Amino acid sequence: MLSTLIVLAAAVSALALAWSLLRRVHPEIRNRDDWEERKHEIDVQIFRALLDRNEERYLRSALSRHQFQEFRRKRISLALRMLRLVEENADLLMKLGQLARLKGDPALTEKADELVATAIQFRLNLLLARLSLYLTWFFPSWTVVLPAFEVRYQNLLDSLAGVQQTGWQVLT
Amino acid sequence: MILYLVTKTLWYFPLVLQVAIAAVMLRRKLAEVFPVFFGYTVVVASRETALLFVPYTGKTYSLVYFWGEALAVLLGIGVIFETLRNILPPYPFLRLVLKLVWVLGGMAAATALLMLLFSRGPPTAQKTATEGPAAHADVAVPDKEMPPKKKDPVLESIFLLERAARFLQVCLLIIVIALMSRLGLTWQQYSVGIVVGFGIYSALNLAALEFRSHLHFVTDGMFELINSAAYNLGALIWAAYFLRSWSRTPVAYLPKTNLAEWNEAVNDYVNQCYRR
Repeated sequence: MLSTLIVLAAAVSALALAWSLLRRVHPEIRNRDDWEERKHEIDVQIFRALLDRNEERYLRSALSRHQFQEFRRKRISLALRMLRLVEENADLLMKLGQLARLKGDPALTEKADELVATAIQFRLNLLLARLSLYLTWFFPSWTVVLPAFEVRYQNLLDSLAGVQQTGWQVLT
Repeated sequence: MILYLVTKTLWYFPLVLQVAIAAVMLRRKLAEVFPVFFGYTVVVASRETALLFVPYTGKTYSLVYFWGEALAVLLGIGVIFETLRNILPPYPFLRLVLKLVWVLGGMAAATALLMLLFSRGPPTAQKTATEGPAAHADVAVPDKEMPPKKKDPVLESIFLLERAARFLQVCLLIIVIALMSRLGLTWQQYSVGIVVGFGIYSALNLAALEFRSHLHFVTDGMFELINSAAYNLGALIWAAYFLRSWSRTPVAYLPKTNLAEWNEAVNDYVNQCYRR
């Protein structure tokens, strides 16, 4: 029975993921005008302020526990919404980078590779940031400190430089 | 009569689609980019065509069916690796994932190979295994024409191995789809099409196998219909991606963005939260 549950869970997960991937692909970008039309203008300083530890300390001391929790959740929700919008920007930029590569101009290709590499790095960072933000949302009084993936992350940063120099095979 | 028509349609429709996909792949030189997927498409289409002309009750039918089946499973696993190789940038960070995929893939390939060896066994043309649209052929043939079915331990072993191979295939697909989705590697439309088509077909097939062989919720005939419908769905998705024209206009310059700043901001936050 357990094996059946595992097998069915795998099947349902694969279906759900495949469906979500199918839905993700739809927003297309054809040129720079599309980017100008669809991009989200978001101030990075607001994001920094929302998650600033000093502000958090001040709020913790100035507000009651209940108020602080409520206020922190609102700030985290806002930060998560901002991240979602920037993620959409990153998606569009990745696609724009691929279109720029088609031009065949070496200088432009280098810039495009750099842009795509930054976007992928951003998305990898997002995974860790979101995990931390969701945990903080559930436990607003807790100052989240998680074990780091230092070695692997350093490897990633090192390899990014390599990717930016050489690019990688882009097929379609 | 309606069931017969449905069965035949479900058999012929993906066959036509796969021939078209293979032709388009050749024309657009995509066979060089996705040689394993091209091989899979050709093998499945050829087997289905061959089965149309081979007498159902002969041993040849059984051989063509089961050898084609095992080959299709092996190629199906190969397709996942091919897609992974095409979509992933060469980050050492992703090596762990790749190693995991290789281990799972090795296990799936081993079970598929065992399936291949076992498939010499069935003495009669019992064809209720599952890759490709011919899986529903039982329904197409009136019962009186079919040889009586007995519980064959070899055939049961094949189903068990197929379940294992399918499970591993689905696990691999989960990893690949999650990676593509999380890293935003969805601009590579053909890779997305291949993976989504396989993902949906394999997941439905695995669920149907489980409902039939373990839970006994569905009959053989119903299972074969579900499986064929799932395969049709997969072939439709492949066709939607491969038969469509993806012509794109290159852009001459890139906009200025603050993505690097955002990356730095998120990176700072991550550094704050993750103790080194």
